Amino acid sequence: MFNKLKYLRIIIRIIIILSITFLAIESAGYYLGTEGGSFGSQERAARKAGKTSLKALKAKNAELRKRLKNLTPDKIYIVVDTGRNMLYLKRGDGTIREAVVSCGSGSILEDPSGNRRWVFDTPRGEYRMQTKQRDPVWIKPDWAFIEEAEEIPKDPRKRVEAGVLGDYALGLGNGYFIHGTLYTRMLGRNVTHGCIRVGDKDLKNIYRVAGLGTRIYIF
Amino acid sequence: MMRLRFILLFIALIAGSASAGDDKERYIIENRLLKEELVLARKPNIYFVFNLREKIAYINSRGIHLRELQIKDSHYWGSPAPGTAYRLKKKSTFIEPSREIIKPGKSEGDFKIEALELTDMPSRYTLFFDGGLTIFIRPETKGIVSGISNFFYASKRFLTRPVAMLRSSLWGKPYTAIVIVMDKNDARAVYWSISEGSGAVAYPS
Repeated sequence: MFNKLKYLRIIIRIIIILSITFLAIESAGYYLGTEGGSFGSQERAARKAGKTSLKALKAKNAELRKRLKNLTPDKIYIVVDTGRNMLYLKRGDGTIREAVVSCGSGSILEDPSGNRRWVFDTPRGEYRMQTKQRDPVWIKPDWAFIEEAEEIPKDPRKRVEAGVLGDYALGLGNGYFIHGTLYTRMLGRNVTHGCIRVGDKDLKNIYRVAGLGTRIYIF
Repeated sequence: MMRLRFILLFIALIAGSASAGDDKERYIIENRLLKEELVLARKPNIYFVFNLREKIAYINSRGIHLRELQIKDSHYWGSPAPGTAYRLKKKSTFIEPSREIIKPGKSEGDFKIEALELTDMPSRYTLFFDGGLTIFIRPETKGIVSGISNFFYASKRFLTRPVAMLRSSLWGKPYTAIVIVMDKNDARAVYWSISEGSGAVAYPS
């Protein structure tokens, strides 16, 4: 009985010591972190420097917001959400058309020789429409043959395949296109090799209204 | 009675001037962040804006809000008011989504989709930015499982954060931690779109 009480007291003491240590670290961390951080001193410096009136500051901020807003294209532009597999045709803040698309699968293909590797992601960022083609043909790149476990042809004519890109192809550069598809059942899923596949009606509309140089934002 | 009025007037004046000072500080920080955002918007990349005051996160490019995501809740810890744009150094999660390796010879006709999709993304992860900013993203609590895991992660952070802050302070480095609670799918969308090197601006609450 006496031993049990002794152990209990020791345990309680350990808990108290640990709690005090933890609280000490917590307090020190909080105090030093909030007061000693360089951001705190930056803010103090900014406050000292900030002799501008509140009204002038508001006006400056409104001007900066306007400058940000002015970066939005005044013509039609395209936004592609690769996660939700959606394409939006937009002008200003308004959406003209929404389309379900298929974007990159994110899968990896390795050349059996071990020298090359492809990651099938749709590239992200801002692009411009560089080419517009009607009845496009696909010039199959090396990975298309490797994926099918076929030999890479030496004759360039054997790389040409018609009909697989749909009625139109809009080039973004680096071999990436917004194009049609035979696999309409797969629209809404991430199944492509990086291109953006669109259904026929939507693609026709995009082809019609988006000119060369149209900005395309992919995220 | 007259004395009471004077006291109340004095308190009102003090409170008013303090509030004006706070407003001014807020606008100064906002001004600096807008300038930083403008620098990010001049490049053709995707960047992120976490507006803790308006409780909205934006996926942006060239100043255009490509997507708006609601922030359900946020907690701030450490050095006050980050006043610069940050670059993502690393995103970390318990189990990282893995990419499928294509086996040559298996055609699309097999119809087994081997892809990395939005639903494969985690909704609970940490974003480590340069300049000492760490953003913890977690889903809102819905049900017992997410409740237990949120409690577990909150406890873990409660234990580790002070130590991290103390260590950063002793090394003279800033440390700011922001916990952002989002809808599960919105949290996944941020993980999907953000990549190493992505720029971000965090407007304080």
